[in-house]
Amino acid sequence: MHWFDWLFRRKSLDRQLDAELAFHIENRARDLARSGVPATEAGRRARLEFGGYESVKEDCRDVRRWQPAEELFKDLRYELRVFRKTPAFSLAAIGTLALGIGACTSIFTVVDGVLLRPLPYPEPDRLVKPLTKNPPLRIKNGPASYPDYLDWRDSGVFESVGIYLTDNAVLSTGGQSERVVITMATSGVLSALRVRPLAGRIFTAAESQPSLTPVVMLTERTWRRRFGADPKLLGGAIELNGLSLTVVGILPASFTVEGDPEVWTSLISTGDETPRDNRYWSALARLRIGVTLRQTGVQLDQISRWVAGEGNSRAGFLQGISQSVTPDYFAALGVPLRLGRTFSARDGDHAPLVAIVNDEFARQKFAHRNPIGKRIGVEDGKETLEIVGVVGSMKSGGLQESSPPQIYVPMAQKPVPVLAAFLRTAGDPATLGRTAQQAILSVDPDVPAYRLRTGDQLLGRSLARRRLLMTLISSFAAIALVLASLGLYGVLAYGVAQRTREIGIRMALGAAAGQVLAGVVRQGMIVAAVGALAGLAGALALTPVLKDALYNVSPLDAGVLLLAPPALLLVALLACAIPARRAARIDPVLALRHE
Amino acid sequence: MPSEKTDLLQGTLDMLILKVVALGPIHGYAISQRIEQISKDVLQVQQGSLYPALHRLQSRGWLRAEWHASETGRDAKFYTLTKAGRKQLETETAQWERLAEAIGLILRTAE
Repeated sequence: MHWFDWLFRRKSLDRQLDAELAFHIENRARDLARSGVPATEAGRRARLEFGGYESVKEDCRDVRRWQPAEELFKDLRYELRVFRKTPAFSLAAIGTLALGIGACTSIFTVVDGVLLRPLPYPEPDRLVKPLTKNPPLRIKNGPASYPDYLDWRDSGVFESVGIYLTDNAVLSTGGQSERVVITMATSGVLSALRVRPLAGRIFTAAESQPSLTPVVMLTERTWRRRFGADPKLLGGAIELNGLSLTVVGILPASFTVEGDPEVWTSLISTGDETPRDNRYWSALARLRIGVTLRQTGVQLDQISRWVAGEGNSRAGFLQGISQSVTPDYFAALGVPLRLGRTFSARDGDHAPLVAIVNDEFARQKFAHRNPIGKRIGVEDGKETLEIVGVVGSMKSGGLQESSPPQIYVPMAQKPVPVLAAFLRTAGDPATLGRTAQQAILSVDPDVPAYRLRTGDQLLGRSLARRRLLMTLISSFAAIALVLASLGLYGVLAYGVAQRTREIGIRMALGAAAGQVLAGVVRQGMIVAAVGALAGLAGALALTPVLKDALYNVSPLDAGVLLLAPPALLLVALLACAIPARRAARIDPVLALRHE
Repeated sequence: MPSEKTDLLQGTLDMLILKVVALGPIHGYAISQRIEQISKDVLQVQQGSLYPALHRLQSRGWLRAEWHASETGRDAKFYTLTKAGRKQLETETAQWERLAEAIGLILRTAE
């Protein structure tokens, strides 16, 4: 009887028992009546013959009641006996099970959270993030530029496609300024996500072009918390970054995205939308019904090949990431000057256009010939800049990125609206930060300086993800190694223990203990060595798979590959030697009796 | 001798039940009737031990029970032998035969 029956079907089983016993008594009475006993007497005799009805019932119930407990007890007693007899083997088995269950549970938790739980949007399987590649800059899976987006949108490859960028902005309400997270997006993003506004509407296609006066949508939470759920706000205006912007809609609270922005705006023009290589937008698209990801990928490749063909007609066009900097930028960041000079106050608005390149740029474009005095064309190739200096390469986009070729131009010759400032101090960075903030506010109170971080903090942020991934992978690798060791030890030691009898016979026939031991260990080690070689081959074969799955973590870690096999071989050695030694030591007579 | 009733030997009731059920689906009352009938009324089954035994064999997985209409038209609990039950019957039969043979040998040589 299953414990499930026992727990949940007791009532019904009791009724069945009654019916079964009643059936017996009735049949007996009928048989008695048939043999000539009067009907009234037959019933009485049948009941009498049956004996204590209630005690029979109780006995039947007892069988049911104690059976599951009895079986469990029997199993437990058996397990305890096995455990006492071979504690090491039992512990190995229990440990293997515990680690295996733990690893499976944690992997499942991660996979469930990241992969299995669907995104909270309708038909999430059709949502994709288009990415770009730029081989000269060694960028794979990179963000998109505004022209990329226009190509995708106009090609009709997707049902809807849009670009977005999450940033910070200053929201002023009732004389109070506060920094909020905003997402700039084209209407395609919201329609790809199939958002239904709580009130008002989403951006129109016309509003999706970069503009100096974008329209905004507020999240329900912000609308309630900052504006007291004012219905007149719809069609009214809010002040964002000093601009008065019209509110066209409210997004429902159920709609959440990465970064948790409070305000959505249509694109704010920065004046640098035209260059195709200004790739800093995230893209989001919804696949057309019935079109697979693969088909869409092929179409996108065709578009990018067509675009590349067009680009080739502009010969001599050099690619590199251009950055406007002030003269002291290199000194503040400690970037070494390799050749020529850095910028100075001379390189102003009306002075000849100059540029400084990093040594990666010099290596790629000039192959270590002296680039000083050479002229390069930028962007549309209309202007040329004279290279006046070469500086060392640095990682500007995080540690895992390799240094791309880089062009620096003087801020005075190419001003940009969004600034990041680097300050170097000998004192406490926190004090300097506050001083800098006050200095900026004293010039223009509407320009808040935010996201103050020390270099160490920036480094920590860049490292955090990588560190988390590395920790996860190393812990699983460690668990795998422990599991493999336990399993290997268990199997080999069990195999040797089973040969106790054979070892006893050999010893009884006069074999030397050392000789027997060496034989057993040699056999075990041959098996283990074959296993190690097969494992190495498997690891090498699977490396490409891992390379795709792990972003920027070298899958072929020589240290790991060289360490794991010896560790497992050592385990194998112990697994053979310990039980074999024990077997060789015991009295041959006892060994012979061993089962 | 046929008129004399003999109590069942300890532990043999299970084997007899398995044997009778092996002949085909059968309910509790018919099992007791059949055992008495086949043994020419020598063996009598006490209801007090028959039903607990049936339930024990069922919970060990040797018997399976199903309710369906009996020959009188009333629903009765019919027992059938499971695969494990058939194996158990074979084991018990073999054991019994060995025991009976051994006892017989001793009794015959003692004469």
